[in-house]
Amino acid sequence: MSSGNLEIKSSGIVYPKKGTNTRRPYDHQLEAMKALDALESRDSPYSSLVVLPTGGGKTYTASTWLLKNALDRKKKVLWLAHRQMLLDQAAESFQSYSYKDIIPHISSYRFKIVSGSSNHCRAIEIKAEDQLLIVSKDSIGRNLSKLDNWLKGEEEVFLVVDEAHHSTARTYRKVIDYVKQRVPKVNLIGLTATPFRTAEDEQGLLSKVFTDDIAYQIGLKDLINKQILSKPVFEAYHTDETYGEELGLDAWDSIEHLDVLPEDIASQMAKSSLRNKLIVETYVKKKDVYGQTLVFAINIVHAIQLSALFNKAGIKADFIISNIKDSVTGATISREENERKLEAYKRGELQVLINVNILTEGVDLPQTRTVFLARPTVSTILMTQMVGRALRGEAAGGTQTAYIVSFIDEWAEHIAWVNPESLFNGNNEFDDTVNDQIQRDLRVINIAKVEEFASVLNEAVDTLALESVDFEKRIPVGMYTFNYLEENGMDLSYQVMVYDSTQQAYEELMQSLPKLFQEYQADEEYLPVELLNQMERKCRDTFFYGDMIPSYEKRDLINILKYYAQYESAPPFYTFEEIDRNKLDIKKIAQYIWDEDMGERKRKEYVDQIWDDNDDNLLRLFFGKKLYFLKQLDIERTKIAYPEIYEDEQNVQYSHLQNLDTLPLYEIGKIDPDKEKELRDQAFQKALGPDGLYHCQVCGKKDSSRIPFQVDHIVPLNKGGKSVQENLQVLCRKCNGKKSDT
Amino acid sequence: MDELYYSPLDMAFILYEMDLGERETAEFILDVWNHEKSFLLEKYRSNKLKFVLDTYYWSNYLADKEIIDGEFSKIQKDAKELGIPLSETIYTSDFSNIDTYFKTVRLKILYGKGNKFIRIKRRSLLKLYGYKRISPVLLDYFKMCLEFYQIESYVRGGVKKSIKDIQNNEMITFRVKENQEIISQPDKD
Repeated sequence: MSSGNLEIKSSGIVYPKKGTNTRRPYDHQLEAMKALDALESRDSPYSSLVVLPTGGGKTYTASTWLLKNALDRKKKVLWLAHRQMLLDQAAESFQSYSYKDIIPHISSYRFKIVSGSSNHCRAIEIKAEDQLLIVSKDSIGRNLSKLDNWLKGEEEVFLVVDEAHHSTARTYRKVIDYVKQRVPKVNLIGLTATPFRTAEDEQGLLSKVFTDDIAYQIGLKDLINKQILSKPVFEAYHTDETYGEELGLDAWDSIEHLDVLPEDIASQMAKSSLRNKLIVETYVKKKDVYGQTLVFAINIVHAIQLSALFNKAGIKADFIISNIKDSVTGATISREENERKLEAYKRGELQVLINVNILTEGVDLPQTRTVFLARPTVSTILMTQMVGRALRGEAAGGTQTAYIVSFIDEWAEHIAWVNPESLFNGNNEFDDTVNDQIQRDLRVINIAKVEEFASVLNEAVDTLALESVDFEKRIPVGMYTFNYLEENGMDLSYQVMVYDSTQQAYEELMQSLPKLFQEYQADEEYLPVELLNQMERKCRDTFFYGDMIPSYEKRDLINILKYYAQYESAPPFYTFEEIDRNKLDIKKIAQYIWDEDMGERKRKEYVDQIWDDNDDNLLRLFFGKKLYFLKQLDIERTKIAYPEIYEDEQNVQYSHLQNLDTLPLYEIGKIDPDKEKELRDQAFQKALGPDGLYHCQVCGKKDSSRIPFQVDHIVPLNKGGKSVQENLQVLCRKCNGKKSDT
Repeated sequence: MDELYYSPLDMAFILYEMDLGERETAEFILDVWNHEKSFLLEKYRSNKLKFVLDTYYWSNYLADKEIIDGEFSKIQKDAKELGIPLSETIYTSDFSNIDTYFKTVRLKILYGKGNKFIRIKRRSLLKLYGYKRISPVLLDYFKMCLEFYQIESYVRGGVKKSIKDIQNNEMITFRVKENQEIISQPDKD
């Protein structure tokens, strides 16, 4: 990560800087500090959240407050985060603001950054004399005992959880509990920008960790209204360039996990004349709107090229780069030169200042109205820093509006580039009308449906069963929407679409999750792939069998299991009840075309009219592409014009089936889902005792849920047994396992 | 020879020209399916659903070619990422080599609501194919089409006459042959 001009080391001693901190906190930051002061004035320990939006300076607020209230009082601070870059960012903030006037009572303090990164220390290196520990949750979660010496004898410790909306994850809870068990007074402070972006269930979980609720909260809208932040306007320009066509696994890994572009691609992007032309022309066309602009370039070559092009186009521009000699270009720019250029920009003599990751923090350039994101990033933090450069509002010496301009390339491989708009999604403060909500929902649905729509177009994929169901049933009724942390620290946001066909199965699954995890003794935050697959199969066999169209997706269940493994709670469900399903029901549109007996031209006119309907754009948002819409409409027209046609086709499908009873139940389900359901239900019916519980036919284990049991072939298939009612019984997993071993 | 068989794209052209209502369109497609199977491209002869859906698709395509062409490359890209290959030739066309005149003549006469014949001057027919003068190659092609679709050409007075022998300014009347021979199935390859 770039860290301005400050080099971050993984451990050391920080001595107070001479002089006073020139950075004055804003009102909201002072208010947040006062709220923490109020908690601190109590004798008892506290657990509370501080909620400041992106650009609100939460790391700055917390670190300066902790310098004064913890480190200066010789109290230890344990700062937890889930990503290495967050650790560096926190360390940088502590070091930057360690002024004598903030920590007047101490001559120095020891710090250590601990994570799995080779740049950081290991947990084993933690020493009792370290006062500030900045630690990744996984590195300490696996080595909790390494905290023992550090905690020994402490009466009061400050425990900070950065990105605290994740603090309900199993490892965070484990660390928090561990510290609380060993120290009488643990002051827990959670920092987050978006604590309540999901449903109430999750809020409930969060309030269990932060029992004193929220100490201070201010919204993005408030900061914009106070003109501390400017209102972000997002613009995106497609470069029409494709990169990464021959991206190897290592290169992909380097981008996804280190945010480092492979040199060949970086060079290709930097030298692309069309891409650079687009960047410069975009600015030239709207130079009066964009005003003073910071451009984040890919590398030094890129910065130099862009600078030349901007100047050629009559825009006063320059670039600043690190004062280390660049090995590719040989360019060396001294710190003094950079300072001179920064001053020129501050005085308004430069319209555009180009940099390579060095203006992410540390330098104050409030007059910046626009940032050009000419480099993609997978890092939310880097994106926040880049965007943050333009967010300084008028009251803070900045601008009323901030233009966040992205240049989007096509990538042959899927890479989770961060969309700057997503940084603000959780706030939902700009567009909170029902209509906006519906539009957002439809966009999410559209993304989830693309695979289904594309499959219908592919002749090799059999989508007959899907096409046969009423279109209304193919509109999801809601979704499970959740975030969880991957083992590599990346945030994963996931949505599971739920249909009429799967709603009950999902509800039953959610209720059974505790039992499922107990049954499989799955008590780790990150489960092995093999176990996840076994559990997914169990869920499928227990809840998702029978004729279920649209059906469930294996990856959906796996992600729900991963979420539960982390949070020990079912993900929240979000309904689409605001969406007018009638308007999306193209069966009704097809029926109208039929009833009106429209000819080719009239039909086109009508279809265009509803497609172009600008009032709500529902169809456009749902289908995304007109071709998808027309294709589905044709299917519904066909069903009306030839009512028997789908039934006939399906009869043809089933006519060749024979000897189903020689197949395992799961395989039967692929061919005849109803048959599988019948056989499973019959087996469980036989196992149901008068007490209303299912009983294992061997050991007698009983339970109200089907989760602990499996349907077993009394005479195994490989010994001539058949998948028929008489040959099926219910056994608990243990007995079934024993039987398989013999 | 394959181009002489009816494809859903041909059907779309014919339907566009006929401008039938939704119900008559359905009826027309059904008639073709029921009675003209041997004239259809082979892959459609045993798949009514595909024949109907593809005919509808190409009707949409004629009306919205520009939009669909514009969207298709994006759809193709998304689909590829999802592991669903989509062939461009199945969903887009530049309409080259589309010749539906004789195909239309046959279906219009047999299943259209109008006359059971179609009249045209031989000169106008040549013009349709972009010719000003008689070309022996073109006349051979006309003859092949008429034989394939089992259409007979008549001149004034109801006299049956080979298209090759008809004068340029003569009016031709096309009728579908009664007691048609069964068209042989084309070879699979």
